[in-house]
Amino acid sequence: MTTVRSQLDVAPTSRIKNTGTILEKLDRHGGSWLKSMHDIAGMRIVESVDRNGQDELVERLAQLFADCSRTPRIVDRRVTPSHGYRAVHVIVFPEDIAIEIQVRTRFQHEWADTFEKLADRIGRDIRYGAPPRDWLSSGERAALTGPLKELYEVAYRLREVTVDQALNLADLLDAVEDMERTAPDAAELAEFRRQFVDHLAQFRDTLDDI
Amino acid sequence: MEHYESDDSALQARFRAESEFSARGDVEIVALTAASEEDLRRTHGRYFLAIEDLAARMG
Repeated sequence: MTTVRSQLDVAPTSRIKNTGTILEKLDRHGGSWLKSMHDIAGMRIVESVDRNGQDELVERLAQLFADCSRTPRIVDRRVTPSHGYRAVHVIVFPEDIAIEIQVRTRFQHEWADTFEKLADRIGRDIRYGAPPRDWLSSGERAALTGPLKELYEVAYRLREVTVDQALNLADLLDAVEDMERTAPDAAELAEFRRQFVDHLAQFRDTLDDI
Repeated sequence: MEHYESDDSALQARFRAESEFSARGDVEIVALTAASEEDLRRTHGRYFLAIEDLAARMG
């Protein structure tokens, strides 16, 4: 972390994945995940840059660790977002240990933090594409009748719609970043960015009611 | 939030806390390293900020 901080003039933070999350991943991916695990140790960098600035930072990170035992690997979650999550992950191998460095723009980070908050409320597995958590067991839900059933289904549908809204916001960010890449001088870019900020702020306000 | 002077002591404390709260699905234990608390709050705001704080952060 000290090397990254001093060489790239950024403010990284780091964490080691907690035991529960490791067990969840093993449960989700099976033992094969152990062979490719590269995010037990992780670092995060959040910078107020656009997509092009993010590309430059990723390139400098890869250069910084180019002489390690293994070549850095870049996972571009802007090209292949993970259920809305956008970032670039650079996996580096200092002293033969894999460390995943998450490089996020401020907008990507704001979206990710918001989605984490939503997941805290309606189910952590939405981060992996699972439906929102149910209040009732499948049997209890099936046994509902009349107005109570209608009320329950509408309330649950609201949770699903909220996830859809979050994913739409990720698509909006995708469009902004695409314009940053292809037309960085376009006059409309500032307006697109403002729209993303406004919509995300509005979306966050709605989360209070969930 | 607890502060530790070394990664080792933070990890040991994390393992103790994970053991203590293993039955609590609503408790998340994390050990994070940063040069300052300000850096930590910027990259891991989820642990510090309520939704309304996040909204304010967007400006």
